[in-house]
Amino acid sequence: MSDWEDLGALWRSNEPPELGDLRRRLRRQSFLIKAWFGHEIALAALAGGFGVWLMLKSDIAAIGAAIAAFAAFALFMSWRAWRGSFDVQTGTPSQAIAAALDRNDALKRYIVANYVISIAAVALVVAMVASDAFGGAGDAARLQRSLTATTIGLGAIAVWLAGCGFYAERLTRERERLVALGRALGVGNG
Amino acid sequence: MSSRDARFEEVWHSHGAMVARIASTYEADREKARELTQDVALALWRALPGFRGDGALKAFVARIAHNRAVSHVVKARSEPRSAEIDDQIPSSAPLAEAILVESDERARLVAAVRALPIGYAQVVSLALENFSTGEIATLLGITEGNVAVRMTRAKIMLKQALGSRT
Repeated sequence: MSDWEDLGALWRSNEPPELGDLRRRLRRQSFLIKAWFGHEIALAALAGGFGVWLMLKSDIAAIGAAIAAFAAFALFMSWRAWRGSFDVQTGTPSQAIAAALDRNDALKRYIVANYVISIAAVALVVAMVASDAFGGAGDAARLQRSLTATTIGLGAIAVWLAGCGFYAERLTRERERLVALGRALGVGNG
Repeated sequence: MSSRDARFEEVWHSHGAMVARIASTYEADREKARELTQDVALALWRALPGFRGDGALKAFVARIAHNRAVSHVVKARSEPRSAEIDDQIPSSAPLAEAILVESDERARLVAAVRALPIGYAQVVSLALENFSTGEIATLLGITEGNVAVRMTRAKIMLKQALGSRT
């Protein structure tokens, strides 16, 4: 027997691993997926409902339409991202890395869309407040309510954008690691 | 037990040890390597119904294990591969001396393979599993020539790391 065959025999001499808690892990993972989708659907339904209510019952129908459209968009993108996360790649490592890069790019497009929609929302709110302040009937109480709502809205958007920035930074680092790994494996365009 | 469960048990019984070896090639930390092994098991459980028998089952399992391990490396915050020899053999365990020596040798081999550049470690781990050059090329999506070059270089590195065994 050659040294290489000896090494192979030594390499293969481990015991099969125990999988005692595999079912528990499977149940936990299924629960997490359902919980994630549940909360996403609940948030999207709330946001969408609020948007529709604004469209039908208020004088800011454009904002309502934007909120409803954004809710539908966020749900769709989230579903795509999570579906990709739980795919089992049975191709070559280069195909696995290419799929991960595709998913990374899709999530980045989602982040960019969030930025665009947030900026559009800020512009819309500022324009509405400005029109209220300068073109309205000079109702001070209405202007006060409007400014308060705007402050809360802009604060929420700022927090949202900070979260997007954090996520985008993570995606960028993930992409760098994927590319570096592709190069190290000598696969794909890396 | 459902037929799916029975099929999985059968496959895991045959190839689970190989999955654990592949996991240990990518992850130095024992606990994390166990976690990775379980992740591969979950992926295998999900993917197994899609296996149509187009190719060897062993290669199918190895492919899933390697791809999960690649994802694991990407997700890990710090580089998990380490050139250090794993010295965490449980010396106080009531094992016969011969088994202890073999475990120690095996731990050195695993550590030496793990210390190789990742592209080489992939090829070597598959070669040690008795996959042919052609099978390794298909599995990793590279040419047979590339496999041969990596094997030659990896063997030299392994020889330096392990002494004269290779």
